This record gives sequence, structure tokens and C-alpha cells, in this order.
Amino acid sequence: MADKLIRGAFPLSTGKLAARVGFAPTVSAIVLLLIVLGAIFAPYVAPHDPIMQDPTARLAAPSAEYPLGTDNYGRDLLSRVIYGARVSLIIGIGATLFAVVLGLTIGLVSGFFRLADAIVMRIMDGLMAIPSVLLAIAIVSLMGASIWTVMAAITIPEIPRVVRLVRSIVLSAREEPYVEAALSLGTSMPRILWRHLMPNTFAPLTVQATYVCASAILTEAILSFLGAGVSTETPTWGNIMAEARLYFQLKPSLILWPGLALSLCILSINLLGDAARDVLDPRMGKREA
Amino acid sequence: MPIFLVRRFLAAIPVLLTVAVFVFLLLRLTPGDPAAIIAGDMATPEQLERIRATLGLDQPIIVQFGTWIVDILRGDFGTSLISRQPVLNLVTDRMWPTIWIGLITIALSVIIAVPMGVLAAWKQGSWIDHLVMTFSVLGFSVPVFVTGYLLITLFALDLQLFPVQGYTPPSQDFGSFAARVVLPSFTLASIYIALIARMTRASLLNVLGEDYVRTARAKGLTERRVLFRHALRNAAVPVMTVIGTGFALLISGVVVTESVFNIPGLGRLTVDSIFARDYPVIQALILLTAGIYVLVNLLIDISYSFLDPRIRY
Repeated sequence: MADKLIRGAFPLSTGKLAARVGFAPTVSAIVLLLIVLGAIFAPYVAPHDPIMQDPTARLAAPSAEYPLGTDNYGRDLLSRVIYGARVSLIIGIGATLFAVVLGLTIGLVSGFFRLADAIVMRIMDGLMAIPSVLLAIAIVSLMGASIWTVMAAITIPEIPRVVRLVRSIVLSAREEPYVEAALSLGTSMPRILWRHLMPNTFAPLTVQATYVCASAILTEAILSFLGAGVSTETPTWGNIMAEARLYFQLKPSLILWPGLALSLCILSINLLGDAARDVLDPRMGKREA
Repeated sequence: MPIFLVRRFLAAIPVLLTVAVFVFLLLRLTPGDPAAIIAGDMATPEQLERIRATLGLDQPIIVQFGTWIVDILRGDFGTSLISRQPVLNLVTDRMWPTIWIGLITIALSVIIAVPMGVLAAWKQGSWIDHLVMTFSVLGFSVPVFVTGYLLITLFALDLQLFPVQGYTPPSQDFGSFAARVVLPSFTLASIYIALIARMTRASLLNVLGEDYVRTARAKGLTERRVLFRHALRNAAVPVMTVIGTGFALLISGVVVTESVFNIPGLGRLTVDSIFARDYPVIQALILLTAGIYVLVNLLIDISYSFLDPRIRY
């Protein structure tokens, strides 16, 4: 009896999870969890200090001491890849939060007020027309690279996608009878936006947020790779690869391991996003927002 | 010219104007003296003065913007602060590698991705379908530079089929050009193939459920004819859309691919000028890429009305 109650309240938490959600999302969730845990507990998981140099073991082959070998300064590649997840995840999550909060606010206002809409959407169209990587490196190179400017530079190009999604939902929802009813009862404008329109956006936004997160992590890696990311004292997947470029022909694994970690991370987030879309809104097409 | 084309064309102007304002303000709103930012910490007062004069920074901001726009409309994109050459010359010098790789990538993507998507939709649920979908998810999850280095490791370092990096103009030595362009184009195409294959499949599946497809089958047309004459054409509009929206990814991808493969194209020019703070070049290049993006999407919008005569603006 109690068992049934619990199962009713948390339909996905009991029983055969994998069978209900599917194989790929379950594996993705596990991979992502491992990456997150590895990043949080990096000092305990990593076998070495990621910036400790061992001059006697430069570009060493994998061994018991250095499971993935070492780079040109004799730093342990495995430890650097584990620590590298930290910046990616912080920026991925941070940029997603900022993009969703700002995009939601702008989208709600723009969808509801015609005058604001015309101006806001022109600005968004303009922003969308600038390739995100170009926009981001331009911003970082002018403002200087810190974790905050990098995050801002990655967030700004993502905002229009969220705004357009939220706006399109508000545009159709504001014609609903319940909004008209609320208006005729004299409900205040902020309250209509907050209580009646915003909840409509939650399901699609959850899905969109996963894609924004994947895209933010990708952009961060590209910035670091091109040399416009956070300082190289902090290892990130992108700057590990950037530093390895000179030694690539000698030792391709220096680029391929962080590349694998980065790809697995983005792949897992994308697959989870697909799963979320299938559960929350089966009709929504991928990346059409 | 039909009126809807004119209207669609005019709609592109405010977008480009917004981009221009944004690019223009980017430098002006940066904290500190723009001239000092451009020149760096080691600048002498004369250098600062020269930069201010070149950019017209001593004038009111509205005047600066006005002169800049008028100059651009006249075809004058300014002068590089580093090489002292007109920006337009720099761009025309460096654009051919990018144009070649871009065109080959787009052709490659369409040729590979559309049949992939058609096959996946036709054999929905089969192993072919699963294979195509797996590739497609991998295609836009694996970053371009990772794909690039993976291809270099496999085909250039291990199998030694292609040169590792570099670029030769086709006019100089076509064989060398062809050999050097294969890996960058496949690298860049990986995202595009993923996007287009996925969209072709989804769109075709949608269309295959329509009444007219059932009618076509019922009147005894061969499956191939139904697929290619009736279904594919109607499935083409969303595919064109994704080619347009994916174009932004392509531009970002070019920047990275040119760095990975050491190709002296516009992508490298962009990165180099950003790091050198060569502001006239940055402004021009961002405006140019935005212009190309808007133009490509304009052409795609126009193509809708040929693919589907019901679509009008």
C-alpha cells in the first residue's frame, strides 16, 4: 500500500528507470554524474596536482604513475582533464542560468507588450546574425579574460534563442480565455506575467536550457582553444588542447583525451535534452526555437 | 520583382543596422579609452593620437557612427591599424580559402546528409535509421576541433593519406589543393551533415503520413516515385530552414577549422585581428559575416516560394 503511494508520487523514481526513460538517457545521466562528481571531488579523485611539473617525465607515455601520460611540462594529463571539467561545468551552468533568467524576463515583456516587442525583436535578430563564437571572442578580447567576462560573453549570444522561445509561447498564451478573465478582474500586469503566463514556459524552457548548456560548454572550449578563455593557470579542456597543439604530431593523445571528455560531456547533455523533450513535450522539434 | 521579395529584402536592413550599432558600440562602451585598449600598455602618446585620429574618436559619437556607415556604403571599410592596408584588400586577399572550403563543405553536406536522412526515414526503426541518428547526435556533440584532430590523427598521421595542415590555392597546384582541402571540409561538414540528416528524416517522416502520399501509393506509383516526386519536395522547406540557421554554426566552425588546419582564410584573419585589437578589421569582418548570414537566410526564404508556391510573405 505504502509502496504504491510512493510509486504514485514519484513515477520515475521507482521500478525500472532505464526501461521507462530509455537506455541512452540513463547512460548519459550516469556519465554526467561521474563528470560532475569528478569535478567537485577533483582533489581526492585526481592522482596528482594538475599544475605540478615533473621535469624528469616530460611527454611521458602512460604508466602506473601517470595513467594517461604527461604533457610537455611533465604535468599529469589525467589530473588536468579531471580538473578541467570544473571550468566547463561552472561556465555551462552559470551561462545557462543567466541566459534563462534574462531571456525569460525579456521574452515575457516582449511577448506581452507590443511596443517593447518591436524594439526587442530587432535587437535579438541583430544578435542572432552575429556568429556566437565571433561575438564571444570579441567581447572577451575587449573586456579581458576572467571567468565572469567569459561567462558574460557566452551568455549574451544565447539570450536571443531563449527570448524567441518564451515570446512565441507568450504570444499564443495571452489569447487564452484565462488571461482575458484575469485582465477583466483587474489583475496587475506583473502578476499576469508571473502567475498566468510564465508557467507555460517551464516545460519548453527546461528542454531549451539543456541545449543552451551544451552550447555554452562548447563555446567555452572554443574560446579556450583559440586562446581567448580563462587564464591557462586554470586547466580547462579547451586550453589543455590549445597548449597541446604544438606537440600534437608527437603525441596526439594530449589533444584526444580532453577532446573525448568534452565530447562525452556535451553528448550526454544533448541526449538528456532529447529525453527531456520526449517526456515534457513530444511535439516540439529539436532546435527549432 | 514580386512585391513579397521586395518586402523581405527591406526587412533585412534593420537587422544589419542593429548589427552595425552593436559592433560600433562594443568598442565605445568598453571601459577605458578605446585608443589605449587598441594600442595596449606600451603605447606612446603619438601612437594614441594617431589611433584616435584614424578612428575619428575625437568627434561626437553620433558623428563617428554616421561617418562610419556612410563610408561603408561607399565601399570604404577603413584601414587596418596593424598592416595599414585598406580592410577591403585584406578581406579579398584572405577570402578564397574560406570560400572554397565553405562551398565544398556545403556541397558535401547536402550530398551526404539528404540521402542519409531519406534512407533513415524510409527504413524507420531499422539499423540504418539507428546508425544515421547515432551519427547525427555525435555530429553536433563532438566539437569541430576535436573532429578535426581526430581526422588528422587517423588519416594524416596514422594512414598518411593526406597532408597534416596547410593550404595551396587551386590555381597554383590543383592536386595539392584537393589533398589539403579534404580533411578540413569533412571536419566542417560533420556538424552540418548531422543537422541536415536529422531534419531531412524528421521532415520526411512528417510528410510520409500525409493523405496525398497515401493517395500516390494507392494509385499504384512505385515507392521510389512516391518518395522522390511527392514526399521529398514537400519535405524540403524545413531542410532549407536548417541549412540557413546552421549557417551561423558553419561560420563559427570555419574560424576553428582554419586554426586547426592552419589555413590562411577569413577565420584566421578574424582571430588574428581580434588578438591584435585591430578594430577596423574586426568591425568590418563581423559586419561582413552578419551580412552574409542575413543574405543566405534571405535567399533561403526566397527559395521557399519556389519549393512551395503556397508560401508568400
